[in-house]
Amino acid sequence: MVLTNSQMEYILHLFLEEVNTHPNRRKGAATSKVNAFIALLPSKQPIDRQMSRRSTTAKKRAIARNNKIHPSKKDPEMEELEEQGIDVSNLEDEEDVHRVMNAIKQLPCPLAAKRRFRAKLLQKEIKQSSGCCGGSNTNRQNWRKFKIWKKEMSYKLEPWGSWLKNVEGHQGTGVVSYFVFLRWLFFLNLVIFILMLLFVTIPYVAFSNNGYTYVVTGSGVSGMSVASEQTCSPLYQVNVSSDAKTLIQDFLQGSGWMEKTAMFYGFYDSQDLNSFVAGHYSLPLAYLLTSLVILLFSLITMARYTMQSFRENLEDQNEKHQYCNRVFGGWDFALSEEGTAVLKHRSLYKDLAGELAEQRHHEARKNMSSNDKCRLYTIRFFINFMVICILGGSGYLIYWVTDWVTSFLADPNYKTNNDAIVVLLVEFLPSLTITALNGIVPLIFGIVVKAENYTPEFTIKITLIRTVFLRLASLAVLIATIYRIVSCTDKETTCNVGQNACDSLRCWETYVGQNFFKLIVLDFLVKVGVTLGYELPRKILTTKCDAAICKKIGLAEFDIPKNVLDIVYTQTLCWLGFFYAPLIPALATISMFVLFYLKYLSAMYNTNPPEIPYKASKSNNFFMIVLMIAFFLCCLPVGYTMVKLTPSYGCGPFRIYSYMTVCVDATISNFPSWLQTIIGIFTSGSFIIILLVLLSLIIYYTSSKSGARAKMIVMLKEQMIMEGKDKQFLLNRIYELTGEKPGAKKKDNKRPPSNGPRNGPPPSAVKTVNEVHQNGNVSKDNDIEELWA
Amino acid sequence: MGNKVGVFTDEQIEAFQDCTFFTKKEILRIFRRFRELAPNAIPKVMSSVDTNRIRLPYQQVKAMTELKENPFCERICQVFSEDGTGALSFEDFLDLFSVLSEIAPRELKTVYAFKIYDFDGDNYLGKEDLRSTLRCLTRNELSEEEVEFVVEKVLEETDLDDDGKLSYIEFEHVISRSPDFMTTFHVRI
Repeated sequence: MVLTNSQMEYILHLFLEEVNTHPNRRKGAATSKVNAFIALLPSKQPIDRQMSRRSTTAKKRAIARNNKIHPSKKDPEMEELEEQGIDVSNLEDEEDVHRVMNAIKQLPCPLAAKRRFRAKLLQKEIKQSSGCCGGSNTNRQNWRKFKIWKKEMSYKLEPWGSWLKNVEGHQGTGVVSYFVFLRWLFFLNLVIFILMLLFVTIPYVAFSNNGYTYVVTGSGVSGMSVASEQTCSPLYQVNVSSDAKTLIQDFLQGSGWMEKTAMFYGFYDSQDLNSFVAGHYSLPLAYLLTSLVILLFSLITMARYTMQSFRENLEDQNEKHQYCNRVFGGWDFALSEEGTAVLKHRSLYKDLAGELAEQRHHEARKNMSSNDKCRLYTIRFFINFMVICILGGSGYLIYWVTDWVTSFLADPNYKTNNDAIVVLLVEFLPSLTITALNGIVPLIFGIVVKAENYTPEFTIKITLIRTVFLRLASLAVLIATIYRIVSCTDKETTCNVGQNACDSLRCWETYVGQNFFKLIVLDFLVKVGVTLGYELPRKILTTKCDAAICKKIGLAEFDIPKNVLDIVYTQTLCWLGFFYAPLIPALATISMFVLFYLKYLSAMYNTNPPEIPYKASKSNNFFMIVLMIAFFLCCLPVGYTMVKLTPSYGCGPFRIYSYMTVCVDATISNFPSWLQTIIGIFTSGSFIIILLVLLSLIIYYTSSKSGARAKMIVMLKEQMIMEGKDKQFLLNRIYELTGEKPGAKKKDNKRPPSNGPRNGPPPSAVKTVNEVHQNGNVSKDNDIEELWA
Repeated sequence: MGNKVGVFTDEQIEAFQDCTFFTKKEILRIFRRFRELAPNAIPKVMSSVDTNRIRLPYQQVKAMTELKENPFCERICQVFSEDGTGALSFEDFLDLFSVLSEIAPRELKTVYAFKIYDFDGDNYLGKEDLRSTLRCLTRNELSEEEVEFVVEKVLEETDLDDDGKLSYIEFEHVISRSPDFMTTFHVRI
């Protein structure tokens, strides 16, 4: 719609009338019509009023309606509050007062003003309070006091809070996010450990001598055989030597005397314990259910943690707002040390410069000839192929080593034929291989990816993905190899897991547990070794030695992605191993505890913050996703063990069952029949299918809803742009109309007066930008000053 | 609790608790930090008038560990001071850390971030404001043309009504999409 000149003239006339009656007018008439008009635009009003105007029109209409019905003399303070959008007309009880107080807390005005509002509010409450619900009022107050006390307590008790603050000041929020993640994992492991301890280890240790029976079979439950247990249990012998060197060796390997402790699966028995506290306590059932609960608990906490950060992060918008995020969210307000502040400035500079270089690079790449493109793509294909080969090679190496080690250890004479050190080395060989591969191959990836010529961000991403792949693949190969060993041949006639061509294992679950035990121990030792053996010497070199080459080497960088992947890997090992060695979570907890302090030392004294600014939220999402994937991959072997694999006859809580889940069947068969029917319905196939169909429907519904919302966002954004263009158009026409020159984007040097004491004169370093007028017209500054003086 | 029980009356503490995001312990701790900046100028016991009246000049506030390395230190103090010169009374000081604390909501932080980046105080983030922001961030290491380029890019990404500067609404639109803003715009004390 295009306005004619006469229409514009009329509108202008109306607005000028309003200006002349505007309360803020001081002396003199508005000689500049356009400026008068502009000054009334809603967007020119001070921010505080803008916010309220935007968000509370509905509330204000309600207030106005209320005022018409109950006109009353208002204080100026209350009016101010209402203008901010807070409804103060209906204060009846403590709850409303509290609500208004919360709203006052969030106002963007100085503390003195808030105190005034609060004073008025409290006064008002006394006048209007009708003493309703006295009892619940005090309850609510007590509840609030309790919440404040809880907050203070949690702050005091927040573990390592002051340490985190130190790291934040020294290294910035990126590194702190690593420590926060580490602390979260520490608590997760602690809870898992306590669960296992409470429900499995302690009952068994406390009550196993009170006499026991085996869980009674219900009618029609197959898969229990006590006979083989009785023949095989005595055959499961563990040789314990008392030689000091062997003791230490056994401690590290999980064999010998360690094998007989509560750490491993083999320690427990299929007993239905008699305790004077709770009657019969079926240990197999407890073991199974605790494991399931642990998995479920881990899943729920991970989901909660992920959802919290998902809410804040809209992935697609970030691509469009790269520069803004860097400029407005770039500086880390928590940094408080000079050295690291300098580093942060430099890192920001490099980031921006890098982005600019990237732009130029991008332009250059667009103009690449097709010859070059062809070459680039062949290189990329070739390198990807090489990466897959490396992964395949690593996998085969792990398989071969594990196989060889198991056959070596199965030879009954291996101890006598070889030195103790050799035996130790051989025991640790699979773990050593995996750890070495995990350390070396990512370095190769880092070198190789340079030839692929990706953008820096994508380079980091793809190197990370390849590293994650490597770690998961190596674990998968290890599990596959162990599975092959464990599922080798028939167990009907013998107590062993293998016979003839297969290696013999009396207690295969403990064997699996030992493998993971060794992995965790080695992992921990390597981490300690790297911190002490790599970062510390570099630091000593930098501080003590003055040669130029020492300065060039400099301090190591705190590589956040690598460190996060390390602790994700530890957690994966913990999840894989806890079913076969119930106290492995204790190991993981201790390892993370020690790691916290080690990494703290490393962060504070031995390393520099990473050069490339670390985008905490995006990367945290990525690591959470990796953790979740690792978790689901861990559920597979554990679940398969529970359902398909035959437990050992000679050891462990499930020795009398043909499958571990039979103990659940046995328990259910002892329930009353109506309960059995209900459980039958819930576990039947048809019910599961119905549930699946329902869930798919819900997923479909929510995804289509979110698609519709995305479209709405696009539409609203376009509307907003259109409104802006409308406004610009109108302004230009008005300039034309009044004969003043358009295009002079003026800045009001003096801000319009407003009610808060906050809007003082602008800082002394005011930079005025007065774009040159077309023909050096009447100086507009005078007009503005007159208007607002 | 402790030896600072006489610093504020209970009524003052309640008022502060209601008007900021801090609890009593945190308020007392912040007062201790405030007093450390100028032990001679600030009395051990503050009445209601004192909290507003006694002002520390900017030079003394700047010495504080949390603020001294911040390139926007001067702007922050100017925004939170009553007269715009950077001199902070205890109430301003408390307000400052309340807004920068973890619990403060995003909208509140966005308003103050806008005020801080608005160097010339005209309620718009114009090109000159953006240039000053960039210079503070990189300590003048970017060349002039690079600064111009980045400013152009920022305006291109955010200026929806094409008037060459950012109004509060446009700024808020960007910040609400920025996932790192809440973590970086935060000072622990």
